[in-house]
Amino acid sequence: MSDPHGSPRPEGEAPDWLDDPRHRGWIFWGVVGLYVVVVLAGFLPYARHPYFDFESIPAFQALYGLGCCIGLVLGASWLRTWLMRDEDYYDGP
Amino acid sequence: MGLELLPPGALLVLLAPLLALLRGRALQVGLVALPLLSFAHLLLGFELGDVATVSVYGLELQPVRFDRLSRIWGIVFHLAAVITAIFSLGVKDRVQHVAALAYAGAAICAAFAGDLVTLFVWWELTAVTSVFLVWASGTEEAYRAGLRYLVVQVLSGVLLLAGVLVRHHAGLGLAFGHLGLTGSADTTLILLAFGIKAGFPLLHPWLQDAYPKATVTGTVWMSSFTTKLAIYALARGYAGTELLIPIGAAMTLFPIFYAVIVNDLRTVLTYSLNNQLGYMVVGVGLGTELALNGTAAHAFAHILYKSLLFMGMGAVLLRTGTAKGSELGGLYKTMPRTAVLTMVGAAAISGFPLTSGFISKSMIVSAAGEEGWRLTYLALLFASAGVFHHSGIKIPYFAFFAHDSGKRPAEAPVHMQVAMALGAAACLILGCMPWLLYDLLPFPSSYVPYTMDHVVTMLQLLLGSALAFALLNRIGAYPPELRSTVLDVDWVWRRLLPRSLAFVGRTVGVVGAFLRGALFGTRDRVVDWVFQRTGPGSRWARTWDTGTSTLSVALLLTLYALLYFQLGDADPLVEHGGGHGVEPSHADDHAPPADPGHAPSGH
Repeated sequence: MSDPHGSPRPEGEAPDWLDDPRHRGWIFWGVVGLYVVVVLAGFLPYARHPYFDFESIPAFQALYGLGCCIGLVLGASWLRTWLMRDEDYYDGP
Repeated sequence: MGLELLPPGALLVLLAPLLALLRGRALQVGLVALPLLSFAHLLLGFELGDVATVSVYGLELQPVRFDRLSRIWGIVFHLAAVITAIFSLGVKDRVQHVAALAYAGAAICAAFAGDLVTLFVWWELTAVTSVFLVWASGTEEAYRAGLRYLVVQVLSGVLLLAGVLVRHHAGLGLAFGHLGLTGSADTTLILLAFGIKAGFPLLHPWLQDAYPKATVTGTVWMSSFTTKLAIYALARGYAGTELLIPIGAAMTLFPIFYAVIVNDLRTVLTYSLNNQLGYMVVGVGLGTELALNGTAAHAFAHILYKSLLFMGMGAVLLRTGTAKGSELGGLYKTMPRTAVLTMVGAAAISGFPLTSGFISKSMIVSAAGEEGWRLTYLALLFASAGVFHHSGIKIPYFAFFAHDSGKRPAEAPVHMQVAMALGAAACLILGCMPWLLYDLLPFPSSYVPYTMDHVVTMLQLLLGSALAFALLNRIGAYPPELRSTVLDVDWVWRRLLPRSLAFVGRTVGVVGAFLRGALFGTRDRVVDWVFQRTGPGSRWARTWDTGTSTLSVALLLTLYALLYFQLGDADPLVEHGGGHGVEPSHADDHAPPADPGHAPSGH
């Protein structure tokens, strides 16, 4: 939760709950907690109807979602080195 | 010509120009009343199975075909038109209103076209009406993007018409039913025409080029109709075409990478729109009843949540003057209702349980699983996680939270809040009462979205995605929003081709200049050379004084005389003196007197 622009909060405005970095940390740990909960929920005894063998891996979708999105962000960042240009790239003559 | 020939939506097209005559409150009333009137026309004026045919120039046309597939598109198009009209109430520019309603009407009419010629007419009308929503931005950039948009859209229409003509010529008729990819030119051309409007990979960049440059409300209008009309056309004509499965899977994947790194949040939404279309294309390609139901359901849900998201970003653009992630952040402090409503749309597009996306997208994913498309299934899961990542988290996060931009804009105007609330309500109602939507689907549906297995696995996928975002953000590995342009395929015709042509032009110019230089330079040097020797000031053009001239002539004559007498022993004057009648020039013509060879032999 870096803040590259500093804090341009108008003078006299009181910081609210989300402005406190500690609270932002709580949100992070909240997400981690929810993740753990749904992973554990995958071990509950309920009727499953997997289409493919890989879906019988415990918490497959939780791992797959996490792995895919990390790959997505790293892949997209890598694409930036190839595809990113100045904002007015097409505006020139 | 009877009224029964007017398809649903035709009233919008016919009456939209009247808005140009209205002002103020009357204009606002008309703007919302027309879509409502047209919706009433659809609901009350038609029954399933209705067909209207007409013969024009010997062609059997079918302007109305009211069946389950066209009905669901007609209904959701009308819902989108009503909601977006409310969102647009603050716009004073009547050109936008006329264009928007005519555009929506044309798309609705197209969905009820029973033949390909009628489809073509409405297909083209959606292009020429919607471009005004881009141009209405009034910037040079928007003008150029509008032109590019129009070229691509009209190209799609021309391909469609070419396919129709080939079909007609081959005696296959004009009916717009199942076409299928038979390998013949007609079905290929028509598939290409549909594919352009549906945003197939490589044919897609007109979307990301034009949509973010349209007006605040124009983008909302455009997001609902053009591409979903193309999905309808694919479902009607190409259900079960397996080629569409890999095409659709690719469509779900590549845009999510772009959505992570582009800066303008309306461009992010356009990439995610493209990604959502991919699900529908996969559904069409699978072609089973479940898959086609899923396609129709997802189009329905998608139109509502995607327009909601575009409305949220439109409100932000209206209030702050920008939709760039790098310049936004912290807006939840003064736009809390817009933030919450946008997040409902974000949850719906991500497919959270209790939202419309959950009950629609899962039908297509399940159909892929049932049909055993393993990699496609994995691709769709990846795309589901990815769409939550960029549309579900990135959009609300960078607009409303993230780093505080210091901007404290006013909350969105009331009519915009009402429109967004209607959209959000639709997302939640459909998510909680899926049967409302399932009853409208093309085929009877017994699909049960809310099973423990399905809810848990979906939440696992989404929380995996959320954890990835939170984790990367926390360790500073998440790519920051940067003011930038990210190149897409349109680079080929916006940069490579113009630059290549310019390069060819410059090369031809340089070579031409060289050749010209070589040719004319040589000519000039020859002329100069001659000129220096014969021109004024040259040796031969020098003016001599009279004395020198006389002396020169005298010397020449003396030399001549000496030579003559030395080489010949007779005086020509003496020789010819006896015959005064003979002209001296005669002898000169044939035997030059100075010829030493002739003179002695004559005697």
